[in-house]
Amino acid sequence: MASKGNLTLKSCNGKEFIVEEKVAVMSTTIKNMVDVDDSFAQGVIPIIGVDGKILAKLIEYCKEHAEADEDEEVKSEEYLKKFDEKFVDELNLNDLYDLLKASNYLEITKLLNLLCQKVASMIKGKKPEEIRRIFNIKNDFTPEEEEEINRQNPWAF
Amino acid sequence: MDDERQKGLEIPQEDDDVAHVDRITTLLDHLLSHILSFLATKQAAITSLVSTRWRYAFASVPDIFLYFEAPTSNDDHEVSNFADFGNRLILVDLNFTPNSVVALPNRKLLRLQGLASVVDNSFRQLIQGCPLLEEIKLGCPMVEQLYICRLNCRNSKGEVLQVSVSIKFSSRLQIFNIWITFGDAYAVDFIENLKSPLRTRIGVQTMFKDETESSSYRVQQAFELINDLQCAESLCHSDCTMEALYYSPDLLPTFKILNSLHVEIGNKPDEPLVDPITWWKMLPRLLELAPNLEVLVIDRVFWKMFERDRDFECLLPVAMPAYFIQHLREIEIAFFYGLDNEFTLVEYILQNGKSLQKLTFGQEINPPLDSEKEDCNRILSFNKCSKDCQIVFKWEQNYYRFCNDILEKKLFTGIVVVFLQHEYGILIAWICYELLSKMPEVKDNQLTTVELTKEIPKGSLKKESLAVYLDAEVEVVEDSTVDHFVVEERNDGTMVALFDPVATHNEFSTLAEEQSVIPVVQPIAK
Repeated sequence: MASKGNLTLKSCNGKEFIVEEKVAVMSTTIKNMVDVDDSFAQGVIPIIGVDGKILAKLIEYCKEHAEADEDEEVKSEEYLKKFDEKFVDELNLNDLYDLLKASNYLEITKLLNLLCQKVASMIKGKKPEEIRRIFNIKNDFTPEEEEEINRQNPWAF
Repeated sequence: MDDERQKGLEIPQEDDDVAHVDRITTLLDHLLSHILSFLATKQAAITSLVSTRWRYAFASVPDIFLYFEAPTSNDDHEVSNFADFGNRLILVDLNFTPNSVVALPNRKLLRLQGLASVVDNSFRQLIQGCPLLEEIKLGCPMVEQLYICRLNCRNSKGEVLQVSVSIKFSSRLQIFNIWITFGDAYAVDFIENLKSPLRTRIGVQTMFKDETESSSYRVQQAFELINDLQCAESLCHSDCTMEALYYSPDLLPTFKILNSLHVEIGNKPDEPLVDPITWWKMLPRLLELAPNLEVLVIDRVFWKMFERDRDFECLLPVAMPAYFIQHLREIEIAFFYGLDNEFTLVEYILQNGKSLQKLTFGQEINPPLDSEKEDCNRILSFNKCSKDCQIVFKWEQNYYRFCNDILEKKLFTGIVVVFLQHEYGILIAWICYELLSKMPEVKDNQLTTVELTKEIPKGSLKKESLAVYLDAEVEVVEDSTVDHFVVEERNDGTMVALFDPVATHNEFSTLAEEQSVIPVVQPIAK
């Protein structure tokens, strides 16, 4: 049982994390659950589909940002920016996808933006074949289709 | 931690867990479009080549931003490529939805820069397909003509959208045609930078259903808009605008360079928004504010509301003072009903129009059978103050019968024949001309000008379509060896029309695209 002001989050593989409420409610989904139903605030909140490793990452991110929101002096904008950069740089592709899905489900808008921006930066300036290689995408176009698209958008390519 | 960092994202091959799984493709649609929204539209468009999953993903991002930087060289090819791309983006969803409904459900802000043209229908469909659209920004740096007709922003469920529209013009814009409807919940529309275009065609349609505060606010909005249009050379007032003007006439500025004014009476002649006498009394105020007006278009002005013709006769010198009509070069009556009042007006105009060069009659509405010819002749019998005045009839809906009359040599005399807005009007005009030039007995008739039809159907002309319009009088034969179109007389005296469907169609399409009205038939010397 979490003490007052704290919430317990439980990952899909059974790991429990006790976090401050202000950290947990960075997630709009959790915030809504707590607001609507008091029992969540006292009991354990199951985070469906998110494993312990990813949940730990999410909490790490939310903690930094929640603290920054509370006191700008301690954690400046510049500090947060550096933290964000380091945070996404340390992710491998699988974690990146998992975090994307989790932050989408939990509605952590800031993080979702950060992650999408990261993926976008991996696409930026790349040719289609490079994008396929980075993300292991199979090219399922027929040569004719490929030619058609090329012909349609000469300005963009 | 250090280990993880080495599994850099740029070199996923080194990570066995990741290397062979394509997980990005399995992401939800909105996540994919969220990712792409962080890229410039041009960059995002490149991803359409990645795989079928990605092909249209870039078009579904919430914001589309198209920007064309001025090319370093005068590379027109690059410009047209860009414009193609922009236009395709609008139509990209059109291409893969069978019912031709543009669906860009995520878009809130639409910024379209550098489009070659924004055509009525595709634009309206676009707006209907964007239920979340809040703002449209159009920048048209290389556009010379922009048509956004009936900007009636409703989504597919018929709900009025709160859309604000801002349009940036360039000095290259010459024709701007916009219809703005202020509906119930309609948002503020504003237009930026409207000082540059010289030829601006704008219709402001406002809806005033009551006299509440919000409607007076809308009146004010409308006039702010009109005030911005002082550079307009040509302006169209809807019936609602006329009503608003009646209540607050002092709000209008003087349109110093206004050359052409179109005043409407609305689509329901039986239920006019404005009392007809009020309407006519408004007219001189508008005329006074346009000192350099040369062209006046009166829409549907006549309905059976004047109890006696005498009332209307008394009103005319007040509504259209003779000193004003003297300066007008062209007058058009867009819809003609063949009522006595109308003939009174026509006679009055012809008697007073010293400088009048052209008097045009639009479509005739519900004419009694075979009365067009009589009406024509009645109009032509009036005394003309200006001897050079051309009288033009655009009674397109009756021209099938009209064609037959020509073919049967029952020609109208002394008029200019104009075919407009019919698929094959031009072709039939051509045939008529060819026929006429080969018939000595009809050469004396003054068939002088034939104007071009503006709507050319897609695909090439079909023999069958022609035959329908020509009835059995002329046999139509496809012949790719002839130069576009020829009518010949056979040995047995019957007529045959030979035409090359592809060449003829291409020719007409080109002419129509130029938006010009081209006299195809040269004047026949008397």
